[in-house]
Amino acid sequence: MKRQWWAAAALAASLGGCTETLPPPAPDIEGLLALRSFDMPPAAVGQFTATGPAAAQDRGVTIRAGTFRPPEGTSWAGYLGDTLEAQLAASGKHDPQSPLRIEGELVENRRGENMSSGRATIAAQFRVRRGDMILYDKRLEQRSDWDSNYFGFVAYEAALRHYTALYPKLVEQLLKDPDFRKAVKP
Amino acid sequence: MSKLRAFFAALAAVLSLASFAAPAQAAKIYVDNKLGWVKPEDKVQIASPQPVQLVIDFQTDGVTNAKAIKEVKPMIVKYLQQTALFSTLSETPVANGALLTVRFNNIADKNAAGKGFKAGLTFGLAATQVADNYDVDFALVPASGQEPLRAQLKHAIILTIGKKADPSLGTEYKKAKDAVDVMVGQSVEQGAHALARQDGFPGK
Repeated sequence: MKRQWWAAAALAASLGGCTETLPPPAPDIEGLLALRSFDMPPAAVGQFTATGPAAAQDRGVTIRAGTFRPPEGTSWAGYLGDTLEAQLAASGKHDPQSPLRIEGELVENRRGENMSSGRATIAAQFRVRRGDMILYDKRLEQRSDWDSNYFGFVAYEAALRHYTALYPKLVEQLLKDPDFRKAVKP
Repeated sequence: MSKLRAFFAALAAVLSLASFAAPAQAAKIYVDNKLGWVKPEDKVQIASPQPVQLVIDFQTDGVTNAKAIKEVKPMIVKYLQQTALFSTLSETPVANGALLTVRFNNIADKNAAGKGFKAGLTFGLAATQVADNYDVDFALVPASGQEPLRAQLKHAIILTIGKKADPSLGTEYKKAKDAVDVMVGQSVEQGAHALARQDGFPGK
């Protein structure tokens, strides 16, 4: 009887829904190498907010019966800012007091999947300021397409990986953008 | 590792159904023996170990897996410290600009969940085996502006259901967590010493 209770619990756990919170973003190898490849003074990370349709999608992502959320106390827009901050900090180029400030608006945040494929897109309007002067103002976008799966837990894990990987990729795109590099030049 | 987790989730579902009527078929987890630990006589001794910045990545099919990084990072740090090839491992830049990057890429068997499901539904009569393969890349920039030293290796964890113990598959572990720890440990030890054997390794 005891075994049957355990079995029922295992079945419920494996088939039922769950919500999980992501860990804070870690620095990414490509982003770090990008930051080491050009001269950039330390910068502050300003506000990251979500606007337009992205504002309504700024909390959790539900795939089949599972939901994943950005780290405690943040939104997806905040997660983007934290990803950038992690990169700058790992490169010794983060200074909250710097007059050079990078901020952003998450303007697009879409994801979805069916039994066979998944797709996610995020886009942000990045701005670099020095005092009141805007040095850079550009929309950047990342998209991912992947094979999904009939099994919900496999589909969920694939969506989580592909969606969250867009954030370091978007930051890497910013750090490799020649216009950004020109704007932040010492 | 996420594939293993998915596999175990499928397995939990079907074995829990099976356990109402029949004894659950035990899953067996093996770490491939091809790589192994570095032999004591092959270990490199560094005269003056230097500090290095460490950045790691864990991917599944080439896509960064944010959750797995958190799980694997303490293992990588533990085994790197045990090599004594570096004086300190830092999350921020070190004075000479030395940077070590370690990347695990888990090559997923796309049929893993289906195999687990089938094995469970047949109470293990449809015996199955899944190999969890890993490509592991190491790059060490000895100092700012220098070309990186590189090392690459492969490792694997094998999972069977409904099969008798088979030592030819590797060393068996009771818990998936222990198997992952050994796979990470052997990879890190072999990769770090492969870097240390190359000219230009800091402090040699």
